[in-house]
Amino acid sequence: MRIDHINVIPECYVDTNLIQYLIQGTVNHQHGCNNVVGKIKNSFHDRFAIGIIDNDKDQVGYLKDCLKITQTTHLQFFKHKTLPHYLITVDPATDQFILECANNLGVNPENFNLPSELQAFTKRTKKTSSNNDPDIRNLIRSIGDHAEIKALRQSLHYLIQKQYSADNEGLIRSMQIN
Amino acid sequence: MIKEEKCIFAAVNHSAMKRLKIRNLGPLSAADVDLGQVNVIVGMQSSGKSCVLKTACYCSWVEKRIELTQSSSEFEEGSRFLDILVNYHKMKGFIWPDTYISYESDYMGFSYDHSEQKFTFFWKEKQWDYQRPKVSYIPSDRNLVATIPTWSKLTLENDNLLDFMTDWDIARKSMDTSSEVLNLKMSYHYDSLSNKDIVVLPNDKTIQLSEGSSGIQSLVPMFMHLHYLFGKQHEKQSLTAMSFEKKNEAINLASKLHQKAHEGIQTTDRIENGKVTLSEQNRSVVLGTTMYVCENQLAYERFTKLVNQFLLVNHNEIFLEEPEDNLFPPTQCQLVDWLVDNVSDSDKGDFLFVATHSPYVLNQFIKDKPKDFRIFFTHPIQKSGQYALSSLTEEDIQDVYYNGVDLFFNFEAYEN
Repeated sequence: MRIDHINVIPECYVDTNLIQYLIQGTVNHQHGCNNVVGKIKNSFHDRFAIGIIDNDKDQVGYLKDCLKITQTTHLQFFKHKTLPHYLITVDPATDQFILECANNLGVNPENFNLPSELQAFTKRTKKTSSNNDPDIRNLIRSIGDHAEIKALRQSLHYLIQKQYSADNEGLIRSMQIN
Repeated sequence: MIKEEKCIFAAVNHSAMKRLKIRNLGPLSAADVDLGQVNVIVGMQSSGKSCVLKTACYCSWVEKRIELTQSSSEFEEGSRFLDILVNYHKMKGFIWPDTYISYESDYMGFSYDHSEQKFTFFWKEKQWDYQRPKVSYIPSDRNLVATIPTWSKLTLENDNLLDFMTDWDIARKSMDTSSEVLNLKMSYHYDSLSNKDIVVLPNDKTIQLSEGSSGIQSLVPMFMHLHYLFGKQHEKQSLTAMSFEKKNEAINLASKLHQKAHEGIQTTDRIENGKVTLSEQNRSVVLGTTMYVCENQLAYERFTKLVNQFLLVNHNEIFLEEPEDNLFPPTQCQLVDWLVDNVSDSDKGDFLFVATHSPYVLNQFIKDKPKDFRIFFTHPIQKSGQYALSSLTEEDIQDVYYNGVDLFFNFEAYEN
């Protein structure tokens, strides 16, 4: 088996679990947002790539070269000014995003053997195995109907399908809830 | 872009196949390894990387023993094959009731099944094409020779560390003139009068190796040992410098080679101890105190060829644990460049197998792209608590380099 979506580059670990569930395939995950951005810049040059990073750290310098296209409560979508590079930032971080989506839908993480309190949940998501943690995957599956999760799924599908021909309006349209 | 393959092996006559199969050894459930000329293995701690490295090294050594004695009898009794591995590489807790190891090269094949305590062996057609290697295992705890100046007085078991120490001692004593360490503007020499390892730092300050930083203590013993190996200085070893036991082995082997050289040739007395009485003096070879006289030119040519193959070291087989220990990342990259240059430049076809935890080491190997390069990684088998081994294809390696895949974080995507 090889990586299905080599140009989809999330941070480890829970981010990867979320993105792999949403696009139903394996991705090229990197350790830390600086490595995500570094790989996009240095390995993909002028090729299409999507980075997914948390927004809880110092803002990565590469965002200065990007323009914000749109945003939701937790998600911001950026595109490089000249290159086919997209960055999606999750605010403040994917673990909290997932918990808040679960709370909004009345889903209790404890039903999936996961802590419902942020600090303990974060601790669990920092484990190296959280990429493929089935409990986390089940929680993510249970919040699949959340508007922001849907928006993220649809935008990823749009970008992966259109790649170089994607445009800002099309991306915004793709996020609209059916 | 990945750089073009260099055409560097035009003169290579050694490109031996090595195929290793391991079942149930330490944390490893299964490993099927087709080794190339340059090999790198990565994987989580305690997932069996060193297990593969040690077993591969051991099998190369067993192969050498069998070739040099032309017999597998020393490994055939009970669990002796496994016992030697366990003692030499300190692997006592690694053995399972059904541990199984098999090895196949161009010259022979052998396997050991612990459930039956049975060692099986067979020769292959190229039995007599074997080229004697220097098999070296460089353990990760190698810096002991630097941190403990009195290491030579330690009582140690006959294991890989002691062997490394012995090799290091031979190597350092050959460094009576100053040798530069990589291009770090730092040099090493051995002071035979004081029996001390001397390092001259970039600021011209002279220190003893034992006073050096952790990086120096880790790098210098490994680098100087490898420098010695790549310099082929061990080729100068003569029969007179051998121990009694080794000398006897060499003489026994020479007799077998002499016999082989005369296959199909009518013979009279072949060996004249001490003096030559036959007229064919120009077809005689002296090894130690024994003269081997060949019956005719064909036998003489065959015999000298076999002597060169079996009694002189032809190439290095190096098994190196974690070369990155305590090193600054750019130095790790320099070290890999140097390793690849030396292995690639060898006209005999040196062999290198490296275990690493360093993305810098792995990526530099990929960047340097030595010919016949293989990457292996260990990975957990779901819920079993055991590990298996997979290898990357050319396409996978392209992913890692061209698409920036971090293998250390994505290995599950490449499991076979």
